[in-house]
Amino acid sequence: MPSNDVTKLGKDILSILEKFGELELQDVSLEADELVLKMAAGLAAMAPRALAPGVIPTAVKPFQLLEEKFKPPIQEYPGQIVEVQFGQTRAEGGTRKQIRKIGGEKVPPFYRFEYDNPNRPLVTFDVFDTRMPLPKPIKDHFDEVMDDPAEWAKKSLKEYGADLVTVHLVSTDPYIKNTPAKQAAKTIEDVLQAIDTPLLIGGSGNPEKDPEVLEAAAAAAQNERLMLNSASDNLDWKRIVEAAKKYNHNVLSWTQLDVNNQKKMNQLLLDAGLPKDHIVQDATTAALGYGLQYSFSIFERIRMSALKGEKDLQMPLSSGTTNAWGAREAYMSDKKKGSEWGTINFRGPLWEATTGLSLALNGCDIFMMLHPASVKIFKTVVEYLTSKKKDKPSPLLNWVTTKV
Amino acid sequence: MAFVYLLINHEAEIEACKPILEPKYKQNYEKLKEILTPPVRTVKFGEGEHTKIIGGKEVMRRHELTWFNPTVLAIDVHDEMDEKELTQRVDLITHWGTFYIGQTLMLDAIAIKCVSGNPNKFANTVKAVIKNTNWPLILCSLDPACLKAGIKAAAGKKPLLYAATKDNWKEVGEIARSEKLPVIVAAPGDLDQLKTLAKSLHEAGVEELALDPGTFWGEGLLSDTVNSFTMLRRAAIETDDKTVGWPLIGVPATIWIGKEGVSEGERLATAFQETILSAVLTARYADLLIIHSTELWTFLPLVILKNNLYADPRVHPAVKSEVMAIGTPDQNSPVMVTTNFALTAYTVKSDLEQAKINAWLIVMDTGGIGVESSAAGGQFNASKVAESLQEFNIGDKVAHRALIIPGMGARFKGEIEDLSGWDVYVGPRDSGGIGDFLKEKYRAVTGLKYVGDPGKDSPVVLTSNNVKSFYEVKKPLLDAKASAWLVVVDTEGLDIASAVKEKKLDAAAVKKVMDEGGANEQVSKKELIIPPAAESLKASIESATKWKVKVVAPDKLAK
Repeated sequence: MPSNDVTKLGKDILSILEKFGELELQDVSLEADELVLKMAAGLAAMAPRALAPGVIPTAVKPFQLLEEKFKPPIQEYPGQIVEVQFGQTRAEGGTRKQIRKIGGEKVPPFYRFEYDNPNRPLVTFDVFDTRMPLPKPIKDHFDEVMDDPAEWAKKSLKEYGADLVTVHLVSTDPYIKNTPAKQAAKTIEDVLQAIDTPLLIGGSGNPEKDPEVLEAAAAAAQNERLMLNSASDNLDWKRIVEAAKKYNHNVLSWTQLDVNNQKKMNQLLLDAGLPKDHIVQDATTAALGYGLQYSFSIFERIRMSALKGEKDLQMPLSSGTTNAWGAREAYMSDKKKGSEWGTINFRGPLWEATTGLSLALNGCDIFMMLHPASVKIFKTVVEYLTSKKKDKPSPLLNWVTTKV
Repeated sequence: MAFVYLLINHEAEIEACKPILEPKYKQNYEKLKEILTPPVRTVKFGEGEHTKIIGGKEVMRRHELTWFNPTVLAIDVHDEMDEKELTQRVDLITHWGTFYIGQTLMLDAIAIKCVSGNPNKFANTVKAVIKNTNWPLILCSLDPACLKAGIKAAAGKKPLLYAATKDNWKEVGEIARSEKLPVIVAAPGDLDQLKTLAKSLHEAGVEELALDPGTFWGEGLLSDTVNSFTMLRRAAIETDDKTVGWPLIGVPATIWIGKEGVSEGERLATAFQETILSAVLTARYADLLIIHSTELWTFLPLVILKNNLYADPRVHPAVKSEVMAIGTPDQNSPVMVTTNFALTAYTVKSDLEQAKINAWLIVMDTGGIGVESSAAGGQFNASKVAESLQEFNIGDKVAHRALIIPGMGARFKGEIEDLSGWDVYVGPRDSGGIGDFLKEKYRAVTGLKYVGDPGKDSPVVLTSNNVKSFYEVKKPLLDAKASAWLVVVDTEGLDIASAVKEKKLDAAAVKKVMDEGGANEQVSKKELIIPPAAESLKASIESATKWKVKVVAPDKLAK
């Protein structure tokens, strides 16, 4: 049957359908074999309800290799993240033997098919200036140094591979020990003496006391270019910014899970005269299971806007990954939850590492962490994601026959 | 419009609209079908209520819309496990779950590997698995004969096939096409090959595909893996490359290659790494993961991570601000406050219910932010708590003035007490500890305390640190705006009557509290008022303290 006849038949059937809504195919005499290909293409699509399944055999197409090339989807980014330096050497007016840098990205995190971003994400260990009630898996590692911040910092750096440390001056809180600001500043001096790397300075979170404490600590560490944590809208951040400018430090611009608020806080710091490369932003880390998705998306939005050219968001990002230890899945004892959740020795560190890595994949640059095992796996993954060296790959399809 | 909304949300299929299937709308139907087909197509496997849908992604980044169809977590079994091991493993996989925000999170599917290379053995294992569960299956073998045998054993189950490779793609393609089954294309580390095979199979009439670009672990290798997933997803969504617009498959189980019979330490370390690798791929676009480890701590972070990342960002995380009656609370039940962040509110509610506690739970409006963040960010503050007590008329519901606040809000205690006139009890940091807290720590503060602004002539009243006994005395005095001294004795939380009976309250204890509080110096009228329940102690208290003791029922106190 010539093809135009088939088309005509198709049209006829269509007009019949339009008239009667139904078609009794047995009234039409067709040589199905002859029709196969053309009907499959024309008729079947036009009158799907009229033809019972199987009446028209499908075309059997040959299996032939159609060579394709995958074209990496490269994009252009008009914006770039600023690079922030922690620590200054003697030549720069400080006393640090080692400095650290974050930021400088030109493409989204680990998009190496586009470009190799310059600095890998860093881990800063949390150190407290007084004995804190910490979850058991962490206490087990640090118990003997928990009364000595300098020793605690040294241990974190030497034994557990921290890139730097954050000394949290929690004892200054009037409700904890009300340690005077001057004495807290002395703690910072002690830790600086004990280590070669820069450190970050955390307050106690008490909005009345923190500005005074951070100011005193900034003065005691003049020209070391540390970071003051943090400037937020619930305290006198101007005082902190002035201290950072006067004594040459970076400032952490901290807001709670809101891109616009983060942008506003950054603008305030910039307007107050703090150079852009002296600001790191922290949009708050909600732990896995406790709102991680908000942090995940907010960090991603901040980084993508920055790369698209939003100048007030082009600072590196910081995460208080330690918040993961506030999750019950991380801290609840095996006695209570082990039969359902498995042992805390693994689930605690997994919680912290998963929280951190989720944000690393969305652009976060520096991670405050607590547990040596979470830090180790975190740093391994970062190494695997950024190294220019390459291990020999496994014959991957062999997993199917691997008898484990 | 409602239907359009369902369509856009992938909650309905266009074919559900019968009229559009009429021939006269053919063009419109096809146009709509094309518009509605997401750049990453959906693929279904499994049958009935256990059907799993993978892919269906519209956007790269979840904040741009939402990520549809959460990552499917499949755990492997193989055909050289003996029956007992197999049954136990299937049982563990299909029964493990954890309660999270009002639902039980579970794993999703079982991947059956043909390790033996023997089609019969594989078929028997597939049958054995099906005997134990109707969960969706992934049949894994590179040998078409084994796949065929497995498919026959799983008739009607619509399994997903693993895998078509450069070496077997024609045979596996034939099988997938004739059996109408979805198939995973695997081309480890070679995206040209992956795209070539996907295009070739699809053109030949295999209708449902998924792509495995290779899950490598190691220096530089993980980078390749993450970049492959990222490039494939971006190509499908942002540069409209339809040949790679298929679900992405990660196989963290590849980390176990060469790990047969390793030490327990290495086994656990590998499971730890496999979990991290799985988490990374969940965050970077994997639509399905095949995993080997079955330590419970390997499941937990993954089910929660996928739940979190696939939560719809368009849905506000807040629940209604209200007072929840947990169990059957009465006027003596404790009053607690938490935030209206959905996760917090649900968690506290479920913890209280599990501990079988009757309570009034104030779900306070913190803009849907959790306790820790809202306490830091100011949405949880003392005046808001005081306002909530007023707004919900809590004072009318209970006969006490004791408010339990979350441990993370401890620093607001003083200010809340000043603003509300209620006594604040700092609860645990985790609501899972409320049961223990109520049993062991929910007590009035002991010592010589006071109500109002008492002087030398004010009455002195005995009570215990049992919350009910304490407020039986304190509340009428508060209501009458009276001033008085309270001698609060530690009865280990027992009410007066029980304490007397159990000998936890005696004259010596009363004297001790009075002496330590300086009652003799503060008060000139040496008279102690005790409740009828402690009347049996009257004489002994009089002789121990040299004070006059008067018995007055608490409800008559104010007079």
